[in-house]
Amino acid sequence: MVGVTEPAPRLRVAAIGIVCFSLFAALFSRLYYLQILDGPSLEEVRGVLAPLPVRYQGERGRILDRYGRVLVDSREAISLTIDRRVFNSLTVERQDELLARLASKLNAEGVATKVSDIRARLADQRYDQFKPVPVAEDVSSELEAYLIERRLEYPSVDAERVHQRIYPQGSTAAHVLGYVSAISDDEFKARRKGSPKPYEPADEIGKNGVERIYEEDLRGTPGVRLVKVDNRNIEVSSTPLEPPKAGDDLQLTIDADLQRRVEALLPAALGEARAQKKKQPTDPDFKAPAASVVVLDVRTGEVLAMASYPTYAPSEFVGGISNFRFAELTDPAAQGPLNNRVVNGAYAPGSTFKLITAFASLSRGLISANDVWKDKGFYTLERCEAHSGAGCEFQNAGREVFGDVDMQRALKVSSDTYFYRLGELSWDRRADLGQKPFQDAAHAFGLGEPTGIQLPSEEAGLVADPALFKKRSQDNPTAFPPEFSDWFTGNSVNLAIGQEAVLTSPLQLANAYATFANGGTVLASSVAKAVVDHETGESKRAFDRRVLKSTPLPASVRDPILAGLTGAVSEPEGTAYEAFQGFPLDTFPIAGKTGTAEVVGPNGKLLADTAIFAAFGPVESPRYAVVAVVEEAGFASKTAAPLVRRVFEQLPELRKPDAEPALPIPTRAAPPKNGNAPVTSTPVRPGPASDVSVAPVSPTTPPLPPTSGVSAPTTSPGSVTTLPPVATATTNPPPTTAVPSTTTAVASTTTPTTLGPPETTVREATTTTTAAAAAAARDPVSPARPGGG
Amino acid sequence: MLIALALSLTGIGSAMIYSTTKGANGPPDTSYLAKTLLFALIGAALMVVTTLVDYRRILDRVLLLYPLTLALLGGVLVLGQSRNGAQAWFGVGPFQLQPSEPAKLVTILTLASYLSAHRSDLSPRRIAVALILAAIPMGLILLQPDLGTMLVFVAITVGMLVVAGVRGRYLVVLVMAGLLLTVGVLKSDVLQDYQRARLFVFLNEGEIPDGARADAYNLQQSKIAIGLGRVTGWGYGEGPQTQNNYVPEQQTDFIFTAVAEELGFLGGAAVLGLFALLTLRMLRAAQLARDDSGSLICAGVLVFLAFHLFQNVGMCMGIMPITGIPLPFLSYGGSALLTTYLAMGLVLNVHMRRYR
Repeated sequence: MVGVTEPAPRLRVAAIGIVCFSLFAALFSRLYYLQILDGPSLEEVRGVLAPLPVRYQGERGRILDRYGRVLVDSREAISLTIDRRVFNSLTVERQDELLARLASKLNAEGVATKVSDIRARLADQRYDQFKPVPVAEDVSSELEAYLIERRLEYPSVDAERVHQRIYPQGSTAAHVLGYVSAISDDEFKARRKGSPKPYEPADEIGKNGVERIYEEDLRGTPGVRLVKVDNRNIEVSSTPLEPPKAGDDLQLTIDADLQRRVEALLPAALGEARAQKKKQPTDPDFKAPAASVVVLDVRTGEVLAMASYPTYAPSEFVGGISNFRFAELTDPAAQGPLNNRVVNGAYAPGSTFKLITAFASLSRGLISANDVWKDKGFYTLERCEAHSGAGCEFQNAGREVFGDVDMQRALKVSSDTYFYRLGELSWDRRADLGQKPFQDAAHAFGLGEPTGIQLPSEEAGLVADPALFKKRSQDNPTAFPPEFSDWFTGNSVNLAIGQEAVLTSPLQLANAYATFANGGTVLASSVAKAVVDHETGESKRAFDRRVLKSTPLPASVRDPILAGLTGAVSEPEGTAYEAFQGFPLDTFPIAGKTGTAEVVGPNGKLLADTAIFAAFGPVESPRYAVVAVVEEAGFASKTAAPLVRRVFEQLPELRKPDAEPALPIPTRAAPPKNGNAPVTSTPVRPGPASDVSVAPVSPTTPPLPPTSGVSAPTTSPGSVTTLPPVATATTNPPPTTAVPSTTTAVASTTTPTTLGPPETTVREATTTTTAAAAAAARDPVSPARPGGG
Repeated sequence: MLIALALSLTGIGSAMIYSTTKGANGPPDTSYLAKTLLFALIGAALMVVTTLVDYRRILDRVLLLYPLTLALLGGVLVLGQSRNGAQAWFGVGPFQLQPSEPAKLVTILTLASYLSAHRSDLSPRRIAVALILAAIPMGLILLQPDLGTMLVFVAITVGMLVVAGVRGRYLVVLVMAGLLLTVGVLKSDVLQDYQRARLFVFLNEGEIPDGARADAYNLQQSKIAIGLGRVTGWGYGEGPQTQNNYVPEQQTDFIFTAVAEELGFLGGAAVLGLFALLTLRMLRAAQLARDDSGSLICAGVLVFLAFHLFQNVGMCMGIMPITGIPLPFLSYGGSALLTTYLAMGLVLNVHMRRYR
């Protein structure tokens, strides 16, 4: 007991004690509050677990063609899920055993599944951590029933009903439709707040085409239900709080039947182009890797068909596309199958631009239509400047000599020298015509500007002028050194034949020819006709004809040009005469212009020419404008013109009697929708087996509103100038920001702009619904969607 | 008495761990229970062993124990495994050792040794030395980073300084400095955003900050489970939230929710009552200790366990931030259970030798 110090003051220990016991008091009272006092609000959850609000997807709207044929539908598929919270509570051994059992069951059912894949899914952070993770898509209802009956043997495993896209017409119109896949992080963040149709992190979203542009309309409004489960995690009840609501349908201007026929033409045309013999071994190869065609209604701006090759199948994205496959689709070597060349491509128009040059020259008085020029096969600048870029001599293709040419004949035979001369004249007379008469004319026909089509990333094209040359050299001296800052005579000369300073998308070019055909009205191109109610088929929002601008087209200007364009097709010396041999030009006269544009590849070497043909018909009362572009295919007269001829032959009024019968036009807007379900005779869209009491029978869907009589040529107005007045609506949503094409120093490079960086978030649906919910989705009295889009 | 309390709490803990981990379906999973019982057995044995050596002899070994602990804490930063964002575990075969747990005891012993040695002259310089002794392990733990465990050290240090007789005004200064330090840590980059977010999630009723969604959910489920318990609870093994694993981490940090849901207010209050008795016993041991060092050891252990209890149960009920601090005796986890028993052993040691 020696050396024992004083014990620590009892007071201080007591102080600690007091603090401790006040904390105990706090814990007791909080426990009392939570368990005894805070009663009534929790009383209702007695007997079952706290009901969890579960959001589940409404069905995505369909996409229909102009006659109501279904291009994209939704169907319900069964997906197997694993609840991670339950799964993670199992021991690793039990987890492994469960997954092995599940995988072998799935494989036995024909759904190839690897345990490692399931593990990867479960580890994927993109899934909502509180929602079951889908591990197998599209399993049979037998397997669903089997697993649900054996819940105890398969803890954490459940089945969900999800909506999936189906494509009754296969890959037809793939580029117009676009595809849906899992929302990316950025898209999710952008849409997180304030969306009337809120997204969950793994929801699907339209990634391209009209699926992307009309996402807000097509997307179903999610429903919410309260799910109660008992203490064995078995669902005892599911109370719909808010029923989901199907998204609106979208009606396109596309004629699915024509679209399908036009698409079928492209591979053959490319094959023929590749089979051409080279004149000289040193000529570039006819690789013909890609082609595109667009058919416009010149009176309305509606796109009737829009085909781009190579193409892809949007169905590949259903249930998630593999990263490997997506990389294949976006590999440059694959020539961009996801790329819609009609809208996103940028090509030098070549001689098809002579329409613009001719219009400008005649209307600005640069020349008279009857002035005759002696074509010697080449053209030497009268005022040769030291560095005019291409030297002082310009020649016809193959130095062909045409002799005496006036405007009409120059267009017919495509005399370059005639237009070279106009190019030099226009620059000589810049004092009174301004520096850019051709460019002004191009803009007057809608070139160099978006057509306003409702598709993503529309190519705005390029119409360069002296001011732009100066500006881009100042802005970016590295890419455009000072020697490219000045506009020379040679630039005007090349512009006159659509080279170097001008790029257009096939759609723009078609729209320019449509403008000429319809008497000078530049219309917004349109691929969407209307947003219609999913249930009733009533139009909620129509995208009517929209005039962008008007260009005066007096007969003195129009007639000689029209004669030239008609002659190019119908007269023996016309560039497209051969291609239209045997075509019924007497009953369906066609006007057109070939274009063979020089293209320089990425390595600076000359590629085979781009073959372009732009046409419209019938000449006296034009209805259709058609443009075909075949890349690296040589002379337009040999490739693009025959292709356009075949496109015309697919039109209903020109189709041969032995042609494949047209796709049936549905009389009702709603065919049976569930791919698995037997076809029923009920007029209601049959859903999955459902609690009928929740699903009031919807009235028979009325047929779609009658469409304009495209199939009956006799009903067409006699003349473009006597078109019935059409409301000019401005309801078109603005297209998503167009990516301006990178204008290179050599403007004739026609690499189509590719779509944005590949979006690698590709995954499958996790949208869930139950039978009852799906039934509720068909509630016909659901209110109209909020907001106007 | 202390032993009985410890064993009954361990018994309740084992039962609840079994209830939360046996699995809802299929044959019961007994692996968690087995491990817990094994550790309880080892813990009890260690407790007995601890009482065999006079605590003053143990204090004499502090000069060896303290550097060893620091080495372990430093080593885990280099060699350790990461879990829940903190690098705090050594993998030893099938087991994982968390050196911050025994570090609490060593720090208690170190402070007890130092403070009792300078009992008569606790000058600001001495206080500073004591603070540094506590601060080194704290700093290493903060690097893991494990803010919750660091706060345990803060509580222990403050509690022991109070009991050691540091003058009131120094204490005030220390508290102020502590507050400043806390604010500094919160503002600095030591904590990741998600850690900051989860610290404050319990204060927010409406908006849930990014990164704290899991915690908010955890807390919500925990409160539902406790609220569902009512007076008598659902009965052992019948709690719906518990049996469906709706409360994450319910066998470890959130085990109190299982108690409250399945055994109700009565069960929850009984557990708190047992802890209250335990606290009383330790207070008594602190007061009856024959010397300062004994008293300080008891006070240190007392603060350590009380802080764990308050922080953990408070977290489950939404009145404290969410941190990974286990509930003594009840939570599943070997290192923590062994440490708790060792701590009990120390208190017993002091109490047994109060007359000699």
